[in-house]
Amino acid sequence: MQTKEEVPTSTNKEVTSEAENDATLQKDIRINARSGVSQNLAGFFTQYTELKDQLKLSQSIEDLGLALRTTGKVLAECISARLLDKPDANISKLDPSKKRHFAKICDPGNKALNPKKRRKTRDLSYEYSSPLGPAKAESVSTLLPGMPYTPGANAKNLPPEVILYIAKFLDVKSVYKLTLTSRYMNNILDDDSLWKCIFYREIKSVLKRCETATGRIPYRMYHYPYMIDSTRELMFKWRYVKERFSSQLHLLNCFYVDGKHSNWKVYYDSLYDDYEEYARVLAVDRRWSTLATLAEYRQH
Amino acid sequence: MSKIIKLQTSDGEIFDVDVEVATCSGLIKTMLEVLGMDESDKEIVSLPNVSSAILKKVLEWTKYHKDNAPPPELDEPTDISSLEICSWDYNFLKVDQGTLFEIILAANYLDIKGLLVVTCKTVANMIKGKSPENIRKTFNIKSGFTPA
Repeated sequence: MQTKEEVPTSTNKEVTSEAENDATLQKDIRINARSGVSQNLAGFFTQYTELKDQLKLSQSIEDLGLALRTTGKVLAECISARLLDKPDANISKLDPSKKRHFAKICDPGNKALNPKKRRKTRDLSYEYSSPLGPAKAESVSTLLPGMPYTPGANAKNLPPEVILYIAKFLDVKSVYKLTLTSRYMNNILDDDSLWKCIFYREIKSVLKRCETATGRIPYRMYHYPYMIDSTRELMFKWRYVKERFSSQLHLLNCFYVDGKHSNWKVYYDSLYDDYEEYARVLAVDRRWSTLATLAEYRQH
Repeated sequence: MSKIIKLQTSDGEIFDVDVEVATCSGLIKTMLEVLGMDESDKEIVSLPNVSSAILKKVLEWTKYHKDNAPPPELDEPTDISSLEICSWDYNFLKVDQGTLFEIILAANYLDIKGLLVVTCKTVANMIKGKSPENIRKTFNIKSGFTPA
């Protein structure tokens, strides 16, 4: 790593350069410790040293780049903090772009200054920029990495039709799990259109698998499973599928459509020997929901 | 030579939007079809259910996707049930949960099918593969079940 000789008090050009100096930083910390900005900077410093250690250990270029960027940022923070302490420091001598950079660091709340760039470095600044203790997300794993956890948000705020719409993207297992979250959800998800959608999707995927294995599923079944208008026909094909592929179709091998064609609620057969799993799976049926709750509570 | 339509959000801000972009919304499209373009040219359309921050996001999305065809209906078993979304949308939806839900509500209200699909897929992705307890934690759902 490059090192520059020193950071003199009058010049501030090191902000943009990615080189840094231990001694200078420590001096900075000391100066600022006296003037009360310390806590923050001390935190930055420890992070900086950690990063340095990482840098020593890791040889990969990516880590090097990240470390350089962050240390540069830390250095900039230090210097800007010092500038705040000394109002007579000659900011005016800086060229405009750097002044802008400084203003941004000194006043992080100011969104008017280059909001685009702020957003770009968001992941990084999320850890660093909040002075009053980083508002780190709880250990809730969200799929989108940069997504902070907001306690105010509640799935109940979404109207039922939107929740149903979301559920249409989920696989059967996830829908069952969603029904187990609360009574409200259970009531919402007990919906014919949703189960029809799921049933068609599942049967289509199964038929597709069967076709690729044997090539014996009729064209009409494969491409237009939703056009089958006779439940009996469906049941017949389904029995065939069940017999032929029962070992592969763990979750699906006990689907059938209940009674009339219009009723799309899907039930499971009693093929499960695992009692808890069986109860969980049957949770859609109201009669079984207490059982499912029991099983869930026993887990904890 | 595109016409401009004025949209007013719940907090009073007025947006000038290309008709081409605005008609991605089923709500506005139907309104223009029924009422005709001439009158609405001068008038301001108020959207009481959408805040300006959210409308900005929605417009950003519609501007990017205005040439794409709307996705087919979900009730038919098509292959859109896969949870993949394009990388632009992925980056676009890297927001906190509250904003995401508000975008969903806005898309639902404005009847923008594509945006609704993408946002719902994002939420579905968050739900997928989690235990009920984890889902409750993620979305802050209170368990309505009584312990037996």
